[in-house]
Amino acid sequence: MDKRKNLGKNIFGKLITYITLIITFSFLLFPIYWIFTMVFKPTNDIIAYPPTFSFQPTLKGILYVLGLEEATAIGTTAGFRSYFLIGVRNSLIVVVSSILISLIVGLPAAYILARYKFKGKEDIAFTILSFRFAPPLLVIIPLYLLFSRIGLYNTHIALIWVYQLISIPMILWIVRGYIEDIPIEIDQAGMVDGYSRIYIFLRLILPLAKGGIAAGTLLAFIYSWNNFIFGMVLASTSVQPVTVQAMRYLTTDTLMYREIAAICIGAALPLLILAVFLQRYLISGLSMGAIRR
Amino acid sequence: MKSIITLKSKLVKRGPIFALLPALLVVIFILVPFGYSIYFSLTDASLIEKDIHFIGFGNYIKYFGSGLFWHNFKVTFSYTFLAMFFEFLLGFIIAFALNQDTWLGRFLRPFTLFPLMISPIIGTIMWKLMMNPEFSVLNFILSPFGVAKDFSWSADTDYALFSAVLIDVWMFTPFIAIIILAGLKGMPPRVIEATRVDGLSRFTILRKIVFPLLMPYIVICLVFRFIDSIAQFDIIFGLTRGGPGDTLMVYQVEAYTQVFNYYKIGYGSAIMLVMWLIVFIVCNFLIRYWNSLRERLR
Repeated sequence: MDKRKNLGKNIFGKLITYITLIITFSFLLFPIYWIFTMVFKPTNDIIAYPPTFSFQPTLKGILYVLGLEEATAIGTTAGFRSYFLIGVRNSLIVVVSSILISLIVGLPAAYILARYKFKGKEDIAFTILSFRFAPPLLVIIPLYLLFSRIGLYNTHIALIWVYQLISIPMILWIVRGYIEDIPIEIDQAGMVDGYSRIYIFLRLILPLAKGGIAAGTLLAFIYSWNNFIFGMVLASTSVQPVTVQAMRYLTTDTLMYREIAAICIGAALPLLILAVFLQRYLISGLSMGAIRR
Repeated sequence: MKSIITLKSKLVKRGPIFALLPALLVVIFILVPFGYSIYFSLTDASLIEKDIHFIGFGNYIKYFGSGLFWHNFKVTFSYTFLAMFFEFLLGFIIAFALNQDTWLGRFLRPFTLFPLMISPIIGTIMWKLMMNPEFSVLNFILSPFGVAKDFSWSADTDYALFSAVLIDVWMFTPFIAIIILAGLKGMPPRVIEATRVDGLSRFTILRKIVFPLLMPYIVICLVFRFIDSIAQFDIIFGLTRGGPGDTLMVYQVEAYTQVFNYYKIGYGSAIMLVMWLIVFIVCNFLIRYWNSLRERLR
């Protein structure tokens, strides 16, 4: 009797779980699905109401994003070139170089902040962390004026500079946490064997902190790639990253919905693929290394 | 000779400081602009005029005196609290549902983070495409609940805040879901089993055992979501640029508008600094609390 009651309870519980999952994930995933289908829809189907769920797919959106075909806005005959590839190129240049710099600067600092004891250590660590949480405008308004004056406005260097605000705190804090988890005996053993601190750091500690470096780099990549405001304020078309290029189509009065959708999906797709395969690094990285499993 | 030796030993001793220099250098590059912001906030600096005059606390007096401060404050904090409330609610529901071992949960789990991976500005553009009153798929889906075909979402003063919060909730609920799920997975299974045997009700187990164990994870969510939504810019800028009218003027968008639309660098800087001070005080407290929990999570 008791067992049967439990069984009924179990099935009921399962049913609730399934319904909850279906409803919540519809909310999370439907927008992505809908915009994805929009990329392949003929214009008539995009602006149809009630919306159409089946349609004759077109490759125009893809060709446009890849720069192979100009798009015409609804109701005009003017052709528009895609800025998507320029945006992707700029994003890659800025994001990859700024992460490389952050690794070179941040990894030794992470090691020192994890292992050495000195006055003001925590204050330095917290100052660096606070950039993760600083309102970006506070820094970029003066930088905008400075860069305009010294001729750095609209250069990749200017963006690489400010993107350090994103990538240094990420890499430094996440890697520092991982190094703190490595037993200090490893450093001590290295010192007994007469190795220098630099050797210990490069050859013993860095390989053991791989997971943290992966998590920090991945997160820095995601946040830098997704950043919008730095590129919008500190650069114009030729240097702006893909996120700002996507916004361009909304500010003009051109109605190129399929093309906008295609740019959105194009900018998001690399990160969605990363998210599926590198999930375990993401969880640790999203909490700035607070959760490490 | 002797001095060279002492210099060398000094270098070894000071090693950490020298190795930290690069990081500090970058910090200085960032701190100098910050100092400039403070200076600008005390002047009538403008994007279009060369002359700068020192006007003391004039900008601050104007900001507090004009009622703009309270407006920005109200919008910023209602946005933050509404978004966080729904994100926590939904995030917990998703985390608990995923924690039940079902094939559907195992299948969906890798997709949980999808909205979070998409750039806030891109996500906002995507939602705008779905909210366009000419062909809104959202209005179509919600039509059984009485939503009209041409319901205009963020263009409607009464629903602008709701629309922005909706996008924020879509984007950041996965963050809370995945952190809380990590907390649930990290819970020692014996703790739960032991309480089952004692015949405690589900609610008591939740309240007395599960929540205290989840506390560090909840605080992580609180810290990150609070600080990030207070400083939200992309979603609101992408959606309405602070409009309609001044409906969605959170302080970051307000400062941006003052500087780049009205050319008032001084006034814009003062707005940023006032809000930064408020956020800094709250954040400092939250981050230090978070750090003490970080130690405990080890």
